[in-house]
Amino acid sequence: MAESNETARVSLLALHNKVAAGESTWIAVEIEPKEGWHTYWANPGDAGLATTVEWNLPKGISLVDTVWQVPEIIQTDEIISYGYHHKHYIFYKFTVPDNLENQIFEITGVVKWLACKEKCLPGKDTVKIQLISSNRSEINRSFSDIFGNIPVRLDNPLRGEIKDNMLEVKLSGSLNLSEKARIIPYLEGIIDNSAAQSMQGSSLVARLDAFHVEIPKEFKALIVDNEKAYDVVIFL
Amino acid sequence: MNSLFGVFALIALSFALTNVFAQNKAEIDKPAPDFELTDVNGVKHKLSDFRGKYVVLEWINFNCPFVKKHYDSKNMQKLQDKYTQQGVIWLAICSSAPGKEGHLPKDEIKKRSENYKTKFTAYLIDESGDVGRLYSAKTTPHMYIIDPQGTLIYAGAIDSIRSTDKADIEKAENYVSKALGEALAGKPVSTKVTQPYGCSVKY
Repeated sequence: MAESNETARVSLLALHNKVAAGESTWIAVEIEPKEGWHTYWANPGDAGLATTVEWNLPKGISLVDTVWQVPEIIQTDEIISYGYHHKHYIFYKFTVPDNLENQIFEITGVVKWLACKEKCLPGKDTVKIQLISSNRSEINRSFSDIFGNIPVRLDNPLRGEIKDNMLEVKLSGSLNLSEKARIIPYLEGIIDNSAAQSMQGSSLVARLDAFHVEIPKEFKALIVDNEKAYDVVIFL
Repeated sequence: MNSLFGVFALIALSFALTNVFAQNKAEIDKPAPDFELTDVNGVKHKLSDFRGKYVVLEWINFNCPFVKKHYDSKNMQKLQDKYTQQGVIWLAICSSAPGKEGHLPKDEIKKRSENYKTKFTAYLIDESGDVGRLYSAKTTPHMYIIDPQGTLIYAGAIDSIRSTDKADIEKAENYVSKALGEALAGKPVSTKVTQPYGCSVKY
């Protein structure tokens, strides 16, 4: 299968022009699908494939966190996908070793994506960026413009229960959700993506996929509620 | 006249219902819902006629890069060949609606099947999408295995590496081969459900 970059344009942006040794920094992968195409979130939904980045990191640099922007819920007939039609970012957090000042680190990422409109085409591109370590950090101001549409991370995990093919997530007092709230696990194959969800008392209830995979005791999920979005951890 | 028409409509409706709609959707470890579809050569195939044999259902769309991965590499044909030689019935089902991607003219289906040297028992056309919906088929490929008693014993992906890259095939665990291997050896299927991957079914 020929892979190409016909369906999307990808590039890298760094939070810091200079990173203080021993500290952490963010690199954003910018993905801009071409007109009419969409690419996918961490959980692509009923079909499709999540965009992935294979990092080639210099010694000492490590990846410690990944943040996805809130995806669109895309409905095509009865198939639900989670993805993006427009320019979006995946944010990766790296730590820089504390004994290395005034060095240039070249970071390479192989970005692979699936883009679909009606048909689907796999895409692949290799992107590079340099990180300069220093005794003090220097922010790249244009980075703040892109750091939007990110879920609010809730520190306290939520309790979940499986009852009769339903996932019930008990919401903590600080989280007030409307009737429109929807929970979407980062892992594929847990919930029925097309089924309605409902608030029952202080719980958000979602139907499990008819062929759901084994559900882990702890998993990450996104809760979307109108314009708001939260990243939560659910314990069963 | 009206009531006669009403009775006729009721009979027609009940026939339609027994065909597909009255049945519950497919569930693992439950009787696989029955269906009848016509293949690319105009021959009808009814699932329940294959009672006594293992049946594999493979949702297909020849234009989908995930399907191409498994056909260009001959992975799918090898599986079809291996298991049909052991008496397994292998039904490829295309649920693409007319005008949608993968809904190909019959000549084109035959040409591609020939070029790929496919070894499936039949290529079934489900352009209404009814059978796809009955099995909650979401992707191409999306694989199902039915045992000789008519019970659904596997539903999900073809293998463990979710990609369009042919190079991943030999590194992946093939779930269909694993489940069929276990079942044919008289063992219980150890992985009954996995998350399918592929293009969406073009209903």
